[in-house]
Amino acid sequence: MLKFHTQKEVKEIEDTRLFLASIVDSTDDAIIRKTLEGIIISWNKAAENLYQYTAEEMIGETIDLLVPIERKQELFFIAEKLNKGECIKNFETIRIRKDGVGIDVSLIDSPIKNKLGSIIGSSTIVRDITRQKKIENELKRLNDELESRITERTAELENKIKELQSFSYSVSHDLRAPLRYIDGFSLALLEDYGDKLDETGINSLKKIRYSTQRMGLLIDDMLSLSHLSQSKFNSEEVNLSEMVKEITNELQKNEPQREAIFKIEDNISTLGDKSLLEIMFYNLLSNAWKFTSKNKKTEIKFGKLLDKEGGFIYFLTDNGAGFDMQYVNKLFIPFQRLHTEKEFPGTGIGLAIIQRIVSRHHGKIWAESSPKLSTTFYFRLNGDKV
Amino acid sequence: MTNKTILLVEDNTFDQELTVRAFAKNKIANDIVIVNDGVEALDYLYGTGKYAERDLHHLPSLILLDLKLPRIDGLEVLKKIRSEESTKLVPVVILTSSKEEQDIIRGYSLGVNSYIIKPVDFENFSDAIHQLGLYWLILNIPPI
Repeated sequence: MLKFHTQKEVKEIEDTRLFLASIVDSTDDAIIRKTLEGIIISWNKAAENLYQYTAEEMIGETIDLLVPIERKQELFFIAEKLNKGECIKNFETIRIRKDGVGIDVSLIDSPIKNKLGSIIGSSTIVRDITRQKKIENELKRLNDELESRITERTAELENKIKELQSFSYSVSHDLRAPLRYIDGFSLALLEDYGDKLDETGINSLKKIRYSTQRMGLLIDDMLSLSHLSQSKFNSEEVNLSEMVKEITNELQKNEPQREAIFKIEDNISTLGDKSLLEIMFYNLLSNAWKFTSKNKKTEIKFGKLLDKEGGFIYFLTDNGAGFDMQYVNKLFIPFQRLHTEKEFPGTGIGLAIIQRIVSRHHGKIWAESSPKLSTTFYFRLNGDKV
Repeated sequence: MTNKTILLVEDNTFDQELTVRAFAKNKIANDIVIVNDGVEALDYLYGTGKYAERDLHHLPSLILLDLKLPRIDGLEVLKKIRSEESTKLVPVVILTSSKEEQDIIRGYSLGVNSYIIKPVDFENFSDAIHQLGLYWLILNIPPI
């Protein structure tokens, strides 16, 4: 049955045709229509810009003209799919411009069917991806460069670490031995010839031995500090309250005559390396215990606070000697002491060890002190979010 | 009973002297044979080189072994001692300055009986020698 269009319908169809044609003409993508045999029947403005051929030059030609020799087999693959009624989407390939230059393009090929559903041709939308490809290649090049630089730097760092390890190995072996000889033979002198020396002579030998042993301690401390940064990190749930209780019990047991109160908040736990945290709390609490040793009554508190970001800040407070806040920035430097050896013995390694352990937990530690009233160490450990 | 011999494998003469002194101080009167490196230690144990004439029936009751030695190092000596039928049961104590973990772990995996890090303080070293002598020369019942 024939269907006649009214004038109004004819106008609507014409309007739609013009509308579609204007889209085809104004788009930046090349739009090409072909017969089943690949003969070009339409060629828009963007196709002219992209391939440098005019519509007049191309209509009636086959698409073959644009395909580089080494890619001709692509056409069979595309035709096969189109014949089956399938689309080809975002197919990235290379086509040749009129001036012979190859350009990177992305193709969308779809079959065109008539009213009866049989395939009569195809349409191709071609997008120029030269710039995109250039950026991609540039990105890849930069990425490769970055990677090779990282490999290089990592190797450099690994070498440095090896150097440091062999340095500490040699310190451990070679520097301790002469110290042992100084100490051993000083003692031999004291034992074998002590009766021939007067008090000053004997005291001098004792000072030699004291200094030798102190240097031994310093070397040991230095080595343990370097080991802390190199040891393996095992993360697990650690109950800090229990840890603090155990250490304070131990401290009290060793000096039962001291009067002390420990206020330890219950159920504080964190994710961290248990053995490192043990070393850290042992050092923190030994410090608190040491610097309160001249108090009549020792008070040590451990607890946690919430910070603005919702993380935990732990604190350890004692009522010991404390330190003058003007030296606070020297607190964590290895072998830097804020008290004389006579006042409070020590090598000055404790807080450096503590800080290194905090930093291995990606945390931060700081301190506040009012001498003889209260001294508090605050610290954060990574991953302690509410 | 024959006198139980101690074999001291140590290259440093100061260390040799101080170790002998520590034994004497603790009234440990056993014979101490001193060898200066790993090669000499193996010569002594297996009757080769300058010890070719030695009576191999007389094995040391205790070997004190330094780790850092010229020519053949302490861990290699230990490996050899543990792999030979005649010496595999002799107690070996490593005496060294090393606090390095990997040395300790390797020493134990090669079958060392104890491991003593020589302290700087001679009196502590002397105490360690005292306990060592007490344990390995008096209390310990050897398997052979």
